[in-house]
Amino acid sequence: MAIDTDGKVTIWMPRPEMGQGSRTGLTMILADELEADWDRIELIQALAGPRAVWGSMTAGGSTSIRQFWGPMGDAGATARQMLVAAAAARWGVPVETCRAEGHAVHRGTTGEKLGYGELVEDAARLPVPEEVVRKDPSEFRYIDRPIPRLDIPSKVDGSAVFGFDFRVPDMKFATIRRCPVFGGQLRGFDDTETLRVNGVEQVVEFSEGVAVVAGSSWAAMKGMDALVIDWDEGPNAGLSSEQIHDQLAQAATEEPMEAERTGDDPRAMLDGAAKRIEAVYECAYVSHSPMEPMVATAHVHKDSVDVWVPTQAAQTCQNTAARVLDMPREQVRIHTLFSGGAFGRRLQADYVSDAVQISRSIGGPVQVFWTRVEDTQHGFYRPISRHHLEAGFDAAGNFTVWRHKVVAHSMSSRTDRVDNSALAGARSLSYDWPSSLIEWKMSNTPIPVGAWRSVYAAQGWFATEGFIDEVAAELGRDPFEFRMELLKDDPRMQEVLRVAAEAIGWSRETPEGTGIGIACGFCFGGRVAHAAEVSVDSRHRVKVHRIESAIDSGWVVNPDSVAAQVEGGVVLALQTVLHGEITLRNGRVEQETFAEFPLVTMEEAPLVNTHIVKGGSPLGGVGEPPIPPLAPAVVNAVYAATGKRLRSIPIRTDDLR
Amino acid sequence: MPVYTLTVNGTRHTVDVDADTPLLWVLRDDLGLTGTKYSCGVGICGSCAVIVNGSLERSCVVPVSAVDGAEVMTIEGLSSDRSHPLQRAWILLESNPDPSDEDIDVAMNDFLCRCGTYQRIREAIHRAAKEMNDV
Ligand code: FES
Repeated sequence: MAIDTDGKVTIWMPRPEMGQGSRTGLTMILADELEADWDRIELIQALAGPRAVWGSMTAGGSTSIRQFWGPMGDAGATARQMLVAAAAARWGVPVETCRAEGHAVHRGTTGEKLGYGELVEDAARLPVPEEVVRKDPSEFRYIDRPIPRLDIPSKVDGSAVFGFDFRVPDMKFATIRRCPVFGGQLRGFDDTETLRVNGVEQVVEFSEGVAVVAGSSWAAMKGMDALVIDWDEGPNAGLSSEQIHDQLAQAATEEPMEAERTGDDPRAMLDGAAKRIEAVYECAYVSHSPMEPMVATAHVHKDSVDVWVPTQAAQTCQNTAARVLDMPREQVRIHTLFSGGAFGRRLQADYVSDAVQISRSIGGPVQVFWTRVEDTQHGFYRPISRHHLEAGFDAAGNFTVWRHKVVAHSMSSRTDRVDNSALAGARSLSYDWPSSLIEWKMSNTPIPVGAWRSVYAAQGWFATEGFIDEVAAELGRDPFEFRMELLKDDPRMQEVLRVAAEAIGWSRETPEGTGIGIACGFCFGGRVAHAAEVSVDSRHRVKVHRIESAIDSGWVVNPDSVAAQVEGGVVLALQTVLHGEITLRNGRVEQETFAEFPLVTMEEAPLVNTHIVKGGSPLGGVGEPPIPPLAPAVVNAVYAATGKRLRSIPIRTDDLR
Repeated sequence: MPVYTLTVNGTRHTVDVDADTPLLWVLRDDLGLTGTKYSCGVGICGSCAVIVNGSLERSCVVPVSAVDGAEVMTIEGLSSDRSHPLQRAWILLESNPDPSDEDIDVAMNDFLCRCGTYQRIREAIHRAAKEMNDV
């Protein structure tokens, strides 16, 4: 950060703004500790730089606020201490008699004050204090208030610069095509017709496919449509969703790895159980599909490169460009732009690799953009998974054992050990099972997979929370009370459940065809419970009317941003329940646009009421935790409404016939 | 290439582009008005919506040849000082100054949002309606 002699404060933002609001939250933390006036702050998005300086610049794992609560606050507090010391020296009074408030240092109760701008030159000459003194929370002026988002004004008047909006003089526009079959390669192309399209300048090959370079976006797209491409479709040309489904079903019959075991020997408990129930839960591949497709603008110079890109991971972009261009990292300038949505897709730097290769080929600046179809068909999808659940009961009807076997595509691809990240929502839960066995079976496919908001937690918790409801039903227990009992070691989870249940009116009678369901989950430091009210009409269509949501992520920087994340998380997760599925035929993704991969619409979007529970340290994440409990809350509510269990998402109307 | 005339946010422009060029790309690439967004390119999402001669159109599927001589309003033209009470659901409020939640849902149902801001859009439209009615 910097302070000018006119008092203007400049903050370099280490993390990107992709709509999640961390730009505002991080500014609040620093400005609060600095005692700075809100309207005298200017923000600059930092260029990608070394981790030793910036830490991780990646917005992932719901970390931006919790990882920078320390550094941003310490920066503000340190500067405040130096300004106070400078003022005390100027007045020749003890530091203790001076205090910072409202962009100035005040001398006792004399009414005398010196503005930060007047003090900054003196302050800058002082040694940086070794001990940082943070404010007492009672003195916070911004933190825990619903401060309006800094990025919104420019987004509602159209002046915000997202990836597609960036312009640099003399830049070309290019669109790309990758082989529609995963693992295929470019064999050749005939560009006769393409080069006849007005505005098309050249056709360029790059490592992953082919690009049409033109003077405008439309000419590039038209030229691409005219390009006759010969693909070598490779070994996956016959791959279909049915095969992948069968592969996972087969893997489920093979010997799994034991990931966790609690209580009395769970295998013996299962063998000896007087009664067992079992169920299979399934989750489909899902695309991130942010509203803004993948895009990056690159300008490769003689010995350096500039890339302007909407990204979650500036340092990954920097490393990728350096590797692709064989250039030292210091010569790669990554300028992070606003992202038009991200959800994990922009953790990948594949589209940066495209852009720098194409810029190098044409010897100038170029904006390389993907069409919606390309974006849908070349994602890093939320991994498909299959969950085998089993519960055992003794002769007296007591619940004695829980088993959860996860079969999924592993991002780590290690065959020698359990992929614990893929077992989020399945293992290390705070449920006090009588005994339990958690198992892992990897089943990888050629489909690219990646982190999709909440990574594996959504799939794991969907199965866990769906099946807990089944166990409760088997026992004739109230599913809310049954959870509360099993969660006696996790009072914070009990509290979010209690708050959500109370808000929805848990025990009231609901009209015919409607129902209430509840579920909880924990990931990335946040506990969330959703209570859902749904109805199912005579044509078996599910409508989610209302979600009462309780979140405990420790404490809160911006309560309005927390509510926005919960609301947005509910809508995103609801899409995976109602519609979201990527399927394959002949090795290629069948979906092209929002026609085949429909998003939740305004009519479908439920009212979401967010209840913030401040459970105390440590500070947790907010962006991802609202995702996992949504799907199970909805299917549990559908059960309450219809008596039918939905165990596969997205749900199908036929499942309710 | 043929020449077309458009009045965008009150300013007259002539552009020299192929007849099939969608209005979206004329606005963005030729006129530099990047507030109108590309997302699906096939008329489904509404990211590219603009007002053409008073009616809401999806500019990604409107060829420039079909709007020669038209008056176009984009998000940049609604207000330069952000004072307009609403920057999005323009047309709805002209025909229905006091919409219910259901009216809003129907009017806005084919505008897609991946970030899930729907309930805030609903609230914003109610607030805009109130402010406009109070004026
Ligand atoms: S870009 Fe989606 S409707 Fe035009």
